[in-house]
Amino acid sequence: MLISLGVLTLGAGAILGTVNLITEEPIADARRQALATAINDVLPPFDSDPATDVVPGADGTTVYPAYRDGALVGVAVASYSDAAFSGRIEVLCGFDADGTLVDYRVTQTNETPGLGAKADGWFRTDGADVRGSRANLAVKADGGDIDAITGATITSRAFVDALNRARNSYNFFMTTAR
Amino acid sequence: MKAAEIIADGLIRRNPTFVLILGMCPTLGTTSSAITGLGMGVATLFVLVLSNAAISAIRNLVPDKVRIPAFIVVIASFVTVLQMLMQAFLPGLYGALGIFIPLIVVNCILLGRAEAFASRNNVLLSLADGLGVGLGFTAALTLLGCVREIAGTGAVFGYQLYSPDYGALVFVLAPGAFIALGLLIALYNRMFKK
Repeated sequence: MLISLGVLTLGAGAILGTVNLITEEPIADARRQALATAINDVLPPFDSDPATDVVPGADGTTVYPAYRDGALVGVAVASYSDAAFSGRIEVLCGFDADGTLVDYRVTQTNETPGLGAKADGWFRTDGADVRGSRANLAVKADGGDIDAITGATITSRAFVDALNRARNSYNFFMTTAR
Repeated sequence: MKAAEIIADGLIRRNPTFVLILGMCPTLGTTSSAITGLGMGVATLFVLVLSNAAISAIRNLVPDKVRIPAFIVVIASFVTVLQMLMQAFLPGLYGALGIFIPLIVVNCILLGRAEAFASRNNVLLSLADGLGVGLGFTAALTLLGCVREIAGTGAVFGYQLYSPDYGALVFVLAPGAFIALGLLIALYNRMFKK
């Protein structure tokens, strides 16, 4: 009994170790690739490699500055909010050198499909477009001028919270950390 | 029983979802769209075929007393292998299925087939059984995903059939999962049971 179980678990361990060895590199590659694509999407054109040029931002965020011909053209901030409906929502925000929000990507969300999960597209539509904003935002229910996702005010608040956290981190980076 | 018969058996006569009502957690949880339902079905199919074959191959080496822990070790290993492979080569689908992949370990279909079939039959027949039951599970999840996605959002597999404004959002949410599954089981019984 002990021998058969022992041999079985040893065999299983060997297989898992081998597969881990094979997939370790592709998994890291896939993560890096996803981050690089997202950064590319939210920033103006750049020629540096921001995904490897990482600066810790304010409040647990991560800052990826992007340069073109040696001049700063934009900053991507990996921000988050814990105020979402279901777990943490993570948003990658791109600011240009003047502090204008260029674009965003929701990189991780567990929000309700059909409601909160629409966040990645919703905040580019009329009345809710956050792109081009230059200051902290709020949804209409909180006295701001951003339309919340229909039926998902909590997600919308969390999204705006993540955006504001990104902006604070951006300001922190531009004034002190740089 | 021939292999083809066993496959058809798992697909139709003893369909794990519509007849045995097994594996309900992933069935209800991952079918909010057709593509995630299909992904979950194929992932389970993959593990089920391999674990059935492996368990059948070691069935005479494992003492009866410890067969359940042995089955769990085999199933968990294949699930972890699948998880690492998906993370490496299908990161998009992995993101969508997330927590449900590790939960394949405790899917009662796998342990059920290991105990009821693979531990008593040879490797070839166990492969066929895994394939049949896995295909039945995949078909059921894809069908349920299609029904929920069409009723909820008006789209399926990226094709917009009608405006999402007319979709009944409840079908994408948890209550709709139960309603759609119940209706599909009723329809299935009507069609295949005498």
